[in-house]
Amino acid sequence: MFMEAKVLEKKKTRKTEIRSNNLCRYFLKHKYLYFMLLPAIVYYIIFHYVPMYGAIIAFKNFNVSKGILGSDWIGLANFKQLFQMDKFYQVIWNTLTISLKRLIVGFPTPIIMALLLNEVKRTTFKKTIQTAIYLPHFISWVILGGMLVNLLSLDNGLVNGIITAFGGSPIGFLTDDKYFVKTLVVSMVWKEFGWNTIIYMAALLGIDPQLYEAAIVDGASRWKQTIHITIPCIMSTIVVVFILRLGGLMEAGFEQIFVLYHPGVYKVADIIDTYVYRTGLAEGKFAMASAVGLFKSLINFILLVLANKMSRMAGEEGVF
Amino acid sequence: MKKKMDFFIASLMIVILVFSVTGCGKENKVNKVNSKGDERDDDPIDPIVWLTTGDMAAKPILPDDRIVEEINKRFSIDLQVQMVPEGDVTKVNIAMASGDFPDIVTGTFGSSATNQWINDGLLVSLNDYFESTPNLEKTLTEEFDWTTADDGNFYGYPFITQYKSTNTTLAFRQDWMDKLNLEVPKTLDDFYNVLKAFKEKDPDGNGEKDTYGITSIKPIGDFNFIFYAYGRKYADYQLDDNGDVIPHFEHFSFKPGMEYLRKLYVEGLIDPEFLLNDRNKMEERFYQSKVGYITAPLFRHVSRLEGNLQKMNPEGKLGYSYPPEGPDGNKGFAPVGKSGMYTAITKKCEAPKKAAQFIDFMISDEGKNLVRLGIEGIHYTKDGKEIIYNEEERAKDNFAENGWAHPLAWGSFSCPLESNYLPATEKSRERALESVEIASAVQVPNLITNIPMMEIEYGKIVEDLYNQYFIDMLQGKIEIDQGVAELSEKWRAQGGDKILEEVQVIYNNNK
Repeated sequence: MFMEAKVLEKKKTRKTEIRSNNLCRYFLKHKYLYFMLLPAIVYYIIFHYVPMYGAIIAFKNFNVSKGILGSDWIGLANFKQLFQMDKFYQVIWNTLTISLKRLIVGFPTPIIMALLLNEVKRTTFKKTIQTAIYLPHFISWVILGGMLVNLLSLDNGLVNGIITAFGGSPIGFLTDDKYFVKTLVVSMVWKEFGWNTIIYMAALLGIDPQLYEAAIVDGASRWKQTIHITIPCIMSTIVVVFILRLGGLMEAGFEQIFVLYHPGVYKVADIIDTYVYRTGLAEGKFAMASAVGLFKSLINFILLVLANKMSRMAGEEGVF
Repeated sequence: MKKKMDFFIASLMIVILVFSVTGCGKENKVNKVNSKGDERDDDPIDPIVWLTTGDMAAKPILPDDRIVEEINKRFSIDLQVQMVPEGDVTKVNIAMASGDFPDIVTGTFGSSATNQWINDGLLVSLNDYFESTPNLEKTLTEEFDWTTADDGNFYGYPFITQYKSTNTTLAFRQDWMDKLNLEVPKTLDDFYNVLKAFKEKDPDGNGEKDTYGITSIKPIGDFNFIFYAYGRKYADYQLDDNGDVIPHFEHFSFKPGMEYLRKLYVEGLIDPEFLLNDRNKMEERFYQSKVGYITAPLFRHVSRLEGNLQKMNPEGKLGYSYPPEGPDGNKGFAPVGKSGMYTAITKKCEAPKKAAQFIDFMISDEGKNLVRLGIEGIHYTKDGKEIIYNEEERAKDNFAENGWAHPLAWGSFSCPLESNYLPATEKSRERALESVEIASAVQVPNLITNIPMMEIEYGKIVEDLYNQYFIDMLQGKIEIDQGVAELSEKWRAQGGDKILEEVQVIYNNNK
């Protein structure tokens, strides 16, 4: 490995001159395309890279009148305080478990749904289903939360109404900490899986029909076609989406949990974001909040890089 | 030719993209011209931007509002009120933290954010303007003398909610009581029996036992009245036998209170879904005949609660009472307020004197009358002592309906309750006032008047711990003895000890 790298390095230096020439020519050839890329680059610089310097308040004793740059440096004191918080490890654990559960249940669902819809031949039926399942994506959690509270209520909720009608005893979906996380996961998946299905549907459309024709000639059944053509063809999409999902593992869904949770389920559902919101942000402790944000981004970044590396080792393309 | 065309299209695309990005960020600055014009040339009109949370009950201020114009004329200012939506003080804090200062700002009194404004030197000392602000000086130095900053100056006007009186107590279904031949409970035992009857004797008459005794509001309900009944003395901190300051869950009143609450919860007398209730949801369950008791603010809400109740249950009747007494005859409900709003002038203000005069006016009787009644001859007329509201004119300036006040009257400087203001047209006037009398008679005092610095720093974290243990003990996830022991240890370790230490010092100094 090491030797190879060295050789490559040498080759690189020798070729640099010729390469840079090539590069210039390449740019010139596609100048209009690059020209059109400019606004996007400008947008990212202005709205995503420049504001990043504000993250340094995580290492400062942020003082409004002194401003972000003028505040005093305090090193890792904010992080120290964060790690000393009694509940910190509990909320990290909750964040990760909720996120993983969502990944396990939520990741395959849209793939399966897309595959199923792909087999549907009648367009109107397909479109109707597609629209129906992605509509919830557009409703905000604040509204959906209110609806869930009513639907899942113990004494006049629809769901418990059905359960009691079949002779069961009502379940405290939102009050009982045994059920709360399940409710969170299922409702989140229900809200988002239709939207995620669209990505896979698009990938499915890109498969060359000739492959299927050839398979049919060879006598492959529908099932065999799915296993040997459809899935391998969308595999790279699946991997990219998976990597991105892993990169967001520390995001367990603040909005949803914030709308639905209460002290009765803090033990299982209090995540980093909600805890910091209650004890930090709502109190105007911005330095602390940004320390948490930085900590989360770091973990997400590590996960993203690891997942990408793994996928490359497995022979897939990865995101970078 | 083709190349030129390509270039043209590419440029066009870029122009469109750039505009679509910047279009949203464009600031909409309107230079407001004072419609009254400059009457006095020597006194220029200063624009004053006031950022406040407003109040849920307040309506938005309309352009060309005549009350604002009247104020503008009085101080030759151009008042621009910016109310953050949903009364969300976080938005005010963020605006201040980002350096986007208004001239006058209203935040939360006794929060770490507001405190930081003072420490960071963002606010103007009000003492400098006391000469021209007699009301402000009087109120601050006589009523709120404990709200000075470390340097002994006043940096803002605190509006402490529920400071001298309160409107919160137990409200219940009087019609259920009558139907089941029950009397308003006096002791904890009576209270238990009433709740049990509400649960089991089918007070709503639908043939099912689907009602609960009492519900409350998130995060942890309003059940402290049980502890007050068992002898808890103060709303904030307690004293043990040696005169040392302790948190209330270490007080002798806590364990018996917790056991009582636990019994109610186990027997299903407390609505298990109270944890999900916001105020609307809680009231909804009351109207829907799901519960017999709620913990609610009354006063001006008496007629609203009863009106809504009767829409769903024509027979419905709202009752309210003292909370139940404990074995030694103690009772208490709502604490004396410690926090509220804090209105201050920022360093950015170019006319701080006028800003101070404006605040002074808002807390004066004249100012209060202006925002409540309006301008005489336009919004109301007087017939001897009787005040006749002109609802049509009042609606034009977005006064709240039925004789309630202008948007500026709510929240920032006063609320109707603080001065027992009720419109002359209020239907349940007597009962509204009676409810305040009852609630205020059992208002619970604090050990110390102010919020100590350490509580501002650590208060949220330790409160959070308490909330979780309280619910766990209530629901029986943890035994009460064990719960108190664990809570004590963690509470003290996470900053509680520092709070107690400071409270002890303050208490000893005041003794």
